[in-house]
This record gives sequence, structure tokens and C-alpha cells, in this order.
Amino acid sequence: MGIIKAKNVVHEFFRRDEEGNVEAITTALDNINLDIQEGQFIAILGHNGSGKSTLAKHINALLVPGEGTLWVDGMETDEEENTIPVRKTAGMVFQNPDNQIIASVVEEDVGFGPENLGVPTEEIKKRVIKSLQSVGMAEYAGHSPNRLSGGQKQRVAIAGVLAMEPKCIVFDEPTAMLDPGGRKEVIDAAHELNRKKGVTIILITHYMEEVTGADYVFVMEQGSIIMQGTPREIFSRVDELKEHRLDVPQVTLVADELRQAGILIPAGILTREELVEAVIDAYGQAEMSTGGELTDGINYSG
Amino acid sequence: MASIILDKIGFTYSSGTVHERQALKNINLQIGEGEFIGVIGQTGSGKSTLVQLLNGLLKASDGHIYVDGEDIYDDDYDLKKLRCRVGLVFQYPDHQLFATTNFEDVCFGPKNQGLGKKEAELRAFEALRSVGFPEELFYQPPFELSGGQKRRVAIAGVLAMKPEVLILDEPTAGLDPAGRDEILGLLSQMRSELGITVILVSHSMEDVAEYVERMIVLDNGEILFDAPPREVFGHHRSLEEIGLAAPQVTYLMEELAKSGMPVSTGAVTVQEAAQEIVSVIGNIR
Repeated sequence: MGIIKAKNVVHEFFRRDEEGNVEAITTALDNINLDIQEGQFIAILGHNGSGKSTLAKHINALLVPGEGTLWVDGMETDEEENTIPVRKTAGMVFQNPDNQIIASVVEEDVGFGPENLGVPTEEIKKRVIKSLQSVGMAEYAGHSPNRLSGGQKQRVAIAGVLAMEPKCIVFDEPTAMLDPGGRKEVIDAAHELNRKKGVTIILITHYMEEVTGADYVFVMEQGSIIMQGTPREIFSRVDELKEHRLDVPQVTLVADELRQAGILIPAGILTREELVEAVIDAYGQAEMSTGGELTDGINYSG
Repeated sequence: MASIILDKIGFTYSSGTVHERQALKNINLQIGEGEFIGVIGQTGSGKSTLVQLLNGLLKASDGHIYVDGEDIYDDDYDLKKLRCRVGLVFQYPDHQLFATTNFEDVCFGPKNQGLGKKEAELRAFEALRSVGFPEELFYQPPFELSGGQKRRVAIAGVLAMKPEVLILDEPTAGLDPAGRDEILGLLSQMRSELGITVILVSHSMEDVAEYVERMIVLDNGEILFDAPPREVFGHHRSLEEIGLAAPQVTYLMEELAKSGMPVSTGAVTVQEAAQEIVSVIGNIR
């Protein structure tokens, strides 16, 4: 069993009228099965309302399954005595940094988590420094969070989770409110934690560009996992992604358009470097066969 | 319809205290009727301050703002009327929605304008329809909505006041790609159908490249660029220095050119880039 395992997990939200009778039922998670190994970098993609955030809340035991079972590090999340250990194992970083920073000094904010867990003061101090260092925010320890940029605030929020020394961190759209610079800071920090400390990362996002570095990707729609695979496998299915109205990285889209125009470009292009190489190849081949028949170069018809 | 002129505008927060900070310096702008403008800049560059000045929520420390030739800082200028003409949709719809149902929320603006109940409801109905908000949700509470739907209600709330200028602060933050395209498509459509000026404050260069005609780039309270997207993204090195970036395809075309392929750089959308590559390879024949 991996660090996070879901078996037939179902979660329903009930809307009740004034008398408390059920008016409507929304199935937010519909029979979810997954098994995430320790140390993996996982990305979960999907629309607003696809169930991504509901799933994230299950991993942190903020919600528990209505049906089925979810295990975090072998602990069933719906057992009440497991709630606190589950939250110690799986930390969570939310979308809006302003909603999760509470103290007036950065280091106090980072120390809040471990303090709540009853960690001794000396140990807290060590953890705060270490956590801030690992997100590159050590020099701001004594600053007020108010003056930080969005990306910096989000890194402080990550440090706050890190200080609780979780084995796994769930990032629920951590970059949605940030500018491009801030987005990069946060994603880089997540990758570094994964690489250097072996923290299991579950990144929930809309931005396809952020998914390319993951080990494995789940795509959710209407509470179900509709696609899964490595980023390359997922992004070679451009038509399917478009059909589900998901965003595709710009380079993958350009590659797809070129293929449709008859230019030979391999499927599953993820990065700019790969596309540049492929286009230069195709260009070279077309040049070599100038004047003659373009058998495998292109089939250009305007 | 409104034309707006900003003349040597400066704005200082907490003036005269230790926290004094100059958010805007010597801003000169002319915004014509029916323009589609993108305002971009890093967090703290002065974007939000600028848009709040435009509808009179903040008053400039220096300079003047003229709307249709009238100075909005004149003593007898009706700021309330200005706020109806220049509508502002905030970044977080959660901060903007407060009524018990979505429909009531949208009615609030027109009622506040002094319209009768019937007229206000008619406006609300029209506005919710024009943003494509599903009718079965009209009488549901706003807090149960998804992020995209909340944003629609927030936009409808401003539209119901029939503004001539619509300003949106990060209207797509937190939305998924489908929601983003819908909101941006909606803005573009409203602009051509209703002839209103749309000013979009955004972090997303891809969005801006795709939709707006004019980009205003702010850096540290000053205007760094004011030009069409293609021209602005040509200066991507300066953009990177201030924490912004050009769309991915702009870099793609540059790298192709550097690798010796005779493509013209400057593409800012996927279509433009693909077309250029196809035509270069096609021309070899």
C-alpha cells in the first residue's frame, strides 16, 4: 500500500431545505481509486467543481468518505482517533496565502503548527529556521507577512506546513492567485522538497505547464478520474484534453497544429526545447528534399 | 460613452507617516471609448491602485482625472454617478457577494442607483442572462457556487448598473481554462455588442495576448509600456526583469529563429506561431 490509497471512495454533499429535508445531492467524488507511493510527485488536474479539492480535503481528513475507504500512511481517515495523526502526515497548502497566514511575524507564523502539536520550544525554533531555509525565506524570518509578495507569502505558508514535518503535502491550487514569477517560486519550492527531502507532493492545479514535471497525472471530471498516466502520455491525447475543455500547454498546442498541417512532429511534446528540436528537424528535412517530392517532410495545402 | 484622461496622476499611501509609499508616479493616460485594455504588472506595481482611482474609490494625491472633459475632483462632481458609469469587479468575488440569493445580489447595484424594484429586477435578469448564468441558480445563495459562477454573478452585479467602462481586477484568477475562456469571451462579446470599454487587470500574459488590443505595463508605480501586445512582448527581456514574461510561443519563435530557421518572431498566440512555422516550411517547396 502506498502512502495514500483510495478504494471506491464516494463523497456526497447534501443540500437541505429549512426543515432539514434533503433537497439535492451532489456527488463530488464518485468511486475514486488510487494508490500513491511515498516520494512521488503527483498532479491532479480538472475543472472547477470536478472534485479535485474535495479529494484534497479527504487526504487531510477535513472530509471523510461517505462510502469506501481512504488510507493515509496506512491509517483509515474515517477513524476518529486517526484524524490528528493523518493531519500530521499530510499537510495542506491552500489557494489564497492571505487566508492561511495568521501571525504578525513570519517566524511566528511558521512556528504555529508545531506549537499546536506540542513540539518543545527549542525544537520549534530549529524547525522554523530549517523550514524557512528550505523555501528560501530565511532572511524574512523577522519580517511582517503583510509586506511580502504573493509568491513569498505562499512560500511562508509552505514553510508553516513543513515545520510540522509531514511525509506528504497537498497543494490545492497554490498558484492560482500569483503572478508568473510567484508561480514559478512556489512550483520550484514544491519540486525541491520532493527531490531533496523525499516529501510526497500532490499538486492540484489548473495550469498544465505546472504538471509537466510530475511523475504521474490524474485528470478528474465530475468526481471521477477520467485520465491518468505520465505527463507525456496525457499530453499526447490533445483531442481528448480539448474535448474535456482542459488547457494544454501552448507548445503542445502548436505541435498539434503543426501535425494537423501535415508536418511530422512526434506526439507528446511537453517542453519548448523538444518542440524547437522537432521543428528544426522537420525544417531540415523539408530543405533537403527541396525540388523533389516531399515524401515524409510535409504535405502543405495552405 | 466615456473617455477618460489621466493627467500627471500620483498616489501616495499613508502620506506623512513612516509607512508612506508612493504607489503611482506621474501617470498620463488617455482611454478612449470602446477600447479593450490589459493592465499588467507584478504584485505591488500599482495596478489595483490605478483601477480604484478610475472609479473614484481612491483620490489621487497629485494630478487630475477627466471623464468626458469633466474633472472628477471638482467639488460639484457627482462621484456616485461616476461609480455607476465606471464599474469595478474585484479580484475575489467572495468579497463582493453578500446578499442571500444571487438574484438579490445583482439587484443591489441598480436599486442603489435609485431604480424602482421592477426596473432593478429587470436589469438583474438581463445581466445574469448576458453572463450566461443558469436560471435554476438565480435564487440560490452565492456561497454555494463554484469560483467561475461566483465571478459571473459579480460581473452581472456590475453590468446591471449599465456601466460605460467595465474594469475587472484579475477576473480569471482561480478559474479553470474553460471558465477563463468563457469569462474572457464574454467580456470580448459584451464589448462589441454593448460598445463598453473593458479594462482587464491580469497576471496572465496568455490571456492578455489573446484578447486585448492595448497593453499598459506598470512597474513600480510607473508606466513602462503602453502599446499593442505584440509590441510589448517584443520587449520580453524588460518584462522578465520586472517578474513578468511573454507568452510561451513568443519564446518558441525566438528560439527557432536562433536555431537558424527563417521565421519572423513576434507571434503572441498559438495560431500565429503555428501559421508562421507552417508557411516557412511550406515555402520551401
